[in-house]
Amino acid sequence: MPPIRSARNRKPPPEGFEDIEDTLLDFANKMKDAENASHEGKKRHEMIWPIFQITHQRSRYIYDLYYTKEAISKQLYDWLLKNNYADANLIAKWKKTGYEKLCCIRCIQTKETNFNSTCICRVPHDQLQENQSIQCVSCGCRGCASSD
Amino acid sequence: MLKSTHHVVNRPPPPPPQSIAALQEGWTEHTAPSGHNYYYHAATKKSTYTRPAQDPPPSIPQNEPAHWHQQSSFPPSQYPRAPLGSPQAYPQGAQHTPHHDFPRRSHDGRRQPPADRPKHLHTIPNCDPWVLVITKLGRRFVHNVESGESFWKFPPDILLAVIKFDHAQREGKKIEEGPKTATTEAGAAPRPETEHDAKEKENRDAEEQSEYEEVEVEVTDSEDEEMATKRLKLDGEEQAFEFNEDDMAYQLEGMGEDDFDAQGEFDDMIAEEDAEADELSPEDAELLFQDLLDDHHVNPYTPWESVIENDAIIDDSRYTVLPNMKSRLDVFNRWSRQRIEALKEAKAKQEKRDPRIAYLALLDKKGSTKLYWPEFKRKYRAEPTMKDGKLLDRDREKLYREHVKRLQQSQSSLKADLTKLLQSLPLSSLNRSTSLNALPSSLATDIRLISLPEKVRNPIIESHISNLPEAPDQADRSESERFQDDQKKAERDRRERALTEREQFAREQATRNSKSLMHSRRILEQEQREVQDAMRPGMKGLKSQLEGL
Repeated sequence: MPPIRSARNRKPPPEGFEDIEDTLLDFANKMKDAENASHEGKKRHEMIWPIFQITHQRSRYIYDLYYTKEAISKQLYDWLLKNNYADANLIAKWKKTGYEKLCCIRCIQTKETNFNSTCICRVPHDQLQENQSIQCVSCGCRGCASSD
Repeated sequence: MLKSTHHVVNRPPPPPPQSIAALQEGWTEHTAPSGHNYYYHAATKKSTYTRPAQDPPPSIPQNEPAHWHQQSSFPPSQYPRAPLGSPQAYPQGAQHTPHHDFPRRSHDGRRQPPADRPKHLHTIPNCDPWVLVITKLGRRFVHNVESGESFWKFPPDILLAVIKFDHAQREGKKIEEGPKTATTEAGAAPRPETEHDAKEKENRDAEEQSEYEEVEVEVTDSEDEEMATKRLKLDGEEQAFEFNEDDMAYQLEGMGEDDFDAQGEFDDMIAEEDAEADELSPEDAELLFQDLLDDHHVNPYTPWESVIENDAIIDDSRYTVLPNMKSRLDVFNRWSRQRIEALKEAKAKQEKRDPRIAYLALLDKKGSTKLYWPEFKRKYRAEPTMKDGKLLDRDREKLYREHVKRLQQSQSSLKADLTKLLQSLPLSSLNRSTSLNALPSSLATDIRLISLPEKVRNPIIESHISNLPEAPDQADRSESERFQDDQKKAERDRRERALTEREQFAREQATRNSKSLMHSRRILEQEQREVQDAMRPGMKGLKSQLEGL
């Protein structure tokens, strides 16, 4: 039986968490607002776009802090991933060439589409038609090819 | 044909002095319903407005100078000694030309000539009784106040003084014109003064000679004019008319030149602006942007999106020193990286604020032998230190029990413990400059400190501290830090000065643009007005326009 972890005996987060705590709280509030937002006047698939967007932003924030700004320690980064502050699978994709700006995992799931292809947002802008503006169905992305 | 009809209809009554001359035989004087006097010869049944005086020829030359003298408020007297001068006292008809010789209406009420008369009077320095007079039409002559003499052509000694005076005036004008170009340009209505200005501006290089030559030419003209004294009046009008037409063109020309000047300056401004932009190097721009971030106390841990949500940052002028969003994001990333590093260093340097310090302070205040640990915990559970995640509950309980146990000991043993503790501390942590409010953490976290009440322990600690020597090597470090701070401040001042200069240039350029726009618009309006005037037939129909040509 795992130990029951209450507020009293919970282990405190690693060093440096208090620096980013405010920003993470902001993201949490935004996420709550997005979850509770009304669906009036929205298409069926549009409703979940903000959820994906906030998740992407928060993951990118933590990724940047650890990999580009080197502002947080390895312990804190692991702790954040473990506690689901960031999407580890998405960050894993960002490390691969060609997926540096990937919007969400769903957009590269070829098996879920009719023609076994990626989402429209993965197509570079120069391969699209002139002035063609797109917004993908799964997360509302307007284009996340690395060459854009 | 035209002339004769006009003659009959419009000729106004002759001036009063003529009426002194007696009428010729057979003529009688009558008053027309319009109020004009006319003369009727009963025998020939002729009527005329002109007075059929007995001696008509001499009346005109006598009349004219008197007429002019009445008009001019500042009548220059005759100047007999001038070699090229005319006996005529005043410059009417200076620019008489033969092709204008056909008779004209002399007293047409509609087109009364703007008579030339003195407009400005300047005292010439070092040339006392002489004054320089500028007429309404922009011509100049010198006048001796004492003797009443006037000369179109400057005598050589006065000429030198006038040249000096002109130099001085031009310098003054240059200084004045700097900030006031707008007003002088805006006020460029077709007036003689502005025309004069334009002339001056145009001839700035060759002015000294050309202007004085101009005067000479005028004088010779008026000398020619002397020969034909009969046409004085006509010439006066003609000259004014010529001014109206020629000088309009001249003025437009001058304005065009002004415009070109302005354009030239404008180009210069652009060049300077470029130079200025070059001066504000990319490094400086980056540093300015970093200053902006520092000044707004941006948290380096925040994402870029929330930084630019702050309007105060976007409204700041330093926000625009970087050309685009990408560069701003780059700079922000670099800046936040540096800042976070600095913060980490500072944190490492700073002694860690032990969570036990706050808890021990709470124990010192509230701890008593009358409360068990569960009671104490329950009573003060709202205190922030009791909820602090850094300190485990286990440790809190341990500290509380120990504290309560020590409170029951005797005062003397507690005092001995405290002095022992104080003596065990090294000189670097505890020295003479230590204050009671900021005790070193090694001392503040020790349970032996709070066992005695504050009133008892503070004198002991104070006496101990006062006996300690100074801390080693404090002064050197602070001095070097101060020097670094000064350097940083100077750098920052320089950057900000560059920014303000850049802004000022941008503003000046904007005003210059608007000014040139206004100017060209005004020229356009003026041209349109002229075209309209030309298109619209007057009261007299086409006739007036034909005569105007």
